[in-house]
Amino acid sequence: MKINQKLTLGFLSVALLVGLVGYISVAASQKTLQKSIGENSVLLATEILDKIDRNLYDKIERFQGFADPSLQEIIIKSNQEFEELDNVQNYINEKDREWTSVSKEEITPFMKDLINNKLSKALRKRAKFYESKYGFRIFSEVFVTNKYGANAAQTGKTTDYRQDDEQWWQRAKEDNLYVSDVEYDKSADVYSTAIGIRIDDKERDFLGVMKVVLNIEEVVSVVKEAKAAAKYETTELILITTEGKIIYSTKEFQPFDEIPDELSPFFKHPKEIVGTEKHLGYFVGEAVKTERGDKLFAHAHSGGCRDFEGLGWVLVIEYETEEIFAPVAKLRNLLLIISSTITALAIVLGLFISKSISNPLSKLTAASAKLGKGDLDAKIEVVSKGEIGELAQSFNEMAGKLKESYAGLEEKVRQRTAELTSANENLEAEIEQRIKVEQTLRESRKELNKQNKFLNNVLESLTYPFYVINANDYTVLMANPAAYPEKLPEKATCYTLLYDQDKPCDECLLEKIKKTGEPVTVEHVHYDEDGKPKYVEVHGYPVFNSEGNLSQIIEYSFDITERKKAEQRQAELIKEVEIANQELKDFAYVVSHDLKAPLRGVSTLTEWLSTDYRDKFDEEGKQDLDLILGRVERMQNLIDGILEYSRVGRMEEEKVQINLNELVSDVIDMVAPTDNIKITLENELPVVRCEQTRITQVFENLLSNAIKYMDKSQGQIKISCVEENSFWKFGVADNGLGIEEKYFERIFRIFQTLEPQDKSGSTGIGLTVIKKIVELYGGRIWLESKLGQGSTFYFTLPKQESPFCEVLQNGSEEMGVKDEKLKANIVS
Amino acid sequence: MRSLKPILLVEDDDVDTLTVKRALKDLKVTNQLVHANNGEEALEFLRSESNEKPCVILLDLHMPKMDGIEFLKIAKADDTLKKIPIVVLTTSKDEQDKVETFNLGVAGYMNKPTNYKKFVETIRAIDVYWTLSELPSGE
Repeated sequence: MKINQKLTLGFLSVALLVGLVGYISVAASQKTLQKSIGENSVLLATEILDKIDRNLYDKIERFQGFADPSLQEIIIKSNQEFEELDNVQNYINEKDREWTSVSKEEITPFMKDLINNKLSKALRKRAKFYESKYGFRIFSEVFVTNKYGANAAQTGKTTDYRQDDEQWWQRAKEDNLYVSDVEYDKSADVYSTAIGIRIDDKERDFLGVMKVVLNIEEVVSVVKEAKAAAKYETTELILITTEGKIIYSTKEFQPFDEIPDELSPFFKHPKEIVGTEKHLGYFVGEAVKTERGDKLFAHAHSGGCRDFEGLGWVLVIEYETEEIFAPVAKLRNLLLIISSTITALAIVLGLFISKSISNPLSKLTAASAKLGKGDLDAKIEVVSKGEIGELAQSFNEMAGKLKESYAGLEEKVRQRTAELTSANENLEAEIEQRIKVEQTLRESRKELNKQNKFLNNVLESLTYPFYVINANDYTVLMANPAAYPEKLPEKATCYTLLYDQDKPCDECLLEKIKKTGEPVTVEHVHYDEDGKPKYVEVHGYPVFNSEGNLSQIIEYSFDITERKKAEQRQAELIKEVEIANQELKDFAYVVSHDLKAPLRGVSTLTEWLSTDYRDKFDEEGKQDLDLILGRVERMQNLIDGILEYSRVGRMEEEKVQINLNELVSDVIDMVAPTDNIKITLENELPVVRCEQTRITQVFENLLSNAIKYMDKSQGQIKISCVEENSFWKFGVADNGLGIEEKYFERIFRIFQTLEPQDKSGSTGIGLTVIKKIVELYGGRIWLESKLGQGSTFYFTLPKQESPFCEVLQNGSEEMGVKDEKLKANIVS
Repeated sequence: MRSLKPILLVEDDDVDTLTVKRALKDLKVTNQLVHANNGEEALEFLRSESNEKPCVILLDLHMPKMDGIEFLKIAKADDTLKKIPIVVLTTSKDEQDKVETFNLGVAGYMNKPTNYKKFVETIRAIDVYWTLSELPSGE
């Protein structure tokens, strides 16, 4: 925006502001004026009404003065007369009928008596006095009734005789005073109101009622006077009854017409506003009939005077606003003229000032443009004094200085250009360096991508699920195709994505890792749609961020359903085998046991036969019986063998700590070798922890075999023990019969003997039992032998714990040969 | 036997019963021999007020209905019976049986020999022992 436009706009704004202020003050003045006139008018209306009320009351008071003792006396007399009547009501009714039956003009003697009695005359006299005083009849139609409502005195003929059925009579009796609403006699042009007054005796007992019709012409004259005294020409006053009818208006009107339309919304029912805040006030209403604009209405409500409550009239004073607000209108016009003048002046002044500023400035601009184009000789003609003149002066000086300095500047530019060139070269070198760095960076990024790709390939190649989980919110950050073949949805949690669950798994790996911070392996079981279990072994590995907090978890899982199934199958099979084994063991045991009972019967009975009937049998018979007994015994031995064999491994005995040196010495006592046999301990035996019965059986069987098959006169049995790797190797060597190598295996089989059992008395169970025991302990048994030279039976026991036996230590130090008794045993 | 009270033999095998009877006869033991086929019958006899309590009970282990171990458990838990000495006479050489019966308070454990002569020796040993051994009086 150019400077002259700005200036013009500025002046215009000031002019508008003046106009605005003027308008606001006019509006405010009008409001104040309206308030002042309104409030004053309300006061005026109140005053007028007060005057009316006071006037009425004055009249009533005067009328009350009628009820003097002489009047009371006449009424008392009338009352007494009535009291003497047999039936008062009948009398009154009869007289009233008589009264109303005659024509209006006719006056019966009964009426005449009443009109001319003493009281009636006094009343007429008093009325006449006031008439002469005021120039018009104030009290017309005065009459008095006794307490029964019958006329006692009257100034003229009344319409009927009976009055106690009239409202005024009843109200006056009750309230002492009754004032009726205003009435208008059109023919006489007279406003009047009826007044009823109760008359009491000295004791305040009811005597009767006095009625007067009061001329209230004065009321109207009060209003007329107010109009005459009004300040404004358009002032009009309207007096309204409580029923909203016009009593009097200073405008053209018909008495008891409805109030004008412009007032009707406010005073349709003046009764309603009595006693409310609305009964006094003013307002501006639109005039309906005139075209002269709005009107201001002020109104007040009659409040009565002393014990006279008033007639409830409303007085409305109206003004045409055009008249009352005329001063304000004048003010407004003045303001309009002033602000228009200021506006016009502002425009002219603005244009002039802006031109005086902008002209030299545009010259300056042109000169500057010239200077800018290189014309260093550009000058401005200095015309005016003041700031603009100084500016032109300064410009000229500047142009001169510029010209001077320009020459030096060129040299400086050359220098600076050289400096710039060198700086540029440096910069180029630096850029080159950067490019190289970026190249390297790109290459390493490429390498990184390659590695990433490689890593991705590795992950994709994995057939088991592999994924990375956010440790804070369970969301899956990465998953290989085996875990989730599709594109990974954002913000999906591991349990929804992988297991289709809405809450973390029961055995949540993440929670476990959070607690320990260590890698964890758990087994999950999930059920597919058919309810088949799917077992998963999940491995979790924690990843910590630079602050050392758990941030992610690497998880991979294996489907171990097949393994689980196999394990279950295996467990089932093992159980089956165990059951079968147990059954077999029990079977062997029970069978052997039950076989023994009948056998013993056979044996016993055969024996009894051979003793009881010895004389009856011949030699052959006796031999047969002996054979039976022999076979029975063999059978017995075989069964015992089975029993013994089956007992190994069937019964589990408590493991105790056994010093084998002691145990072997006890066994030697047990097997009771003959004097020609010498049993020796070659070295110290260890202390072991195992089942005493079993280990005893091993040594007992080996030693008894050695003794049984000893054919030499000097029997030698040697017991030894050496450490061999994790085993103890025991040896029992004899110099007995010896066994051919081809029988080495056979002799360990059950019921295998090398001689007929009848002859040897052996069942061939001993070695079988030893083999079973040793093998149960985790050792083995074998022999070395040469026929005729003797045999050495070896067996091993593991040093470490085995189900039945564990070898603790070499007991030689502790027990060994220091024990005298043991020594003796060994020697024997 | 020192006492003249009866001997109660609890045994299901007829031959064994005959064997015991014969052995007692051979040994001239005059005490009456009462025979029960199993634990239940033995308890029935022992609990009948009209029967005199035996001086010794010879008990087989393997029997139908109620075996020797079950009988022992009940008899030894019964205050009126637990003082009667019970000698196990069985074919079982099972260590387990020995341990269990001794834990239940038997007075002896004898194997039934196949050979009658040995059987008689066994019965003799029992007889001798219970002739010498004192018993709580008043039973």
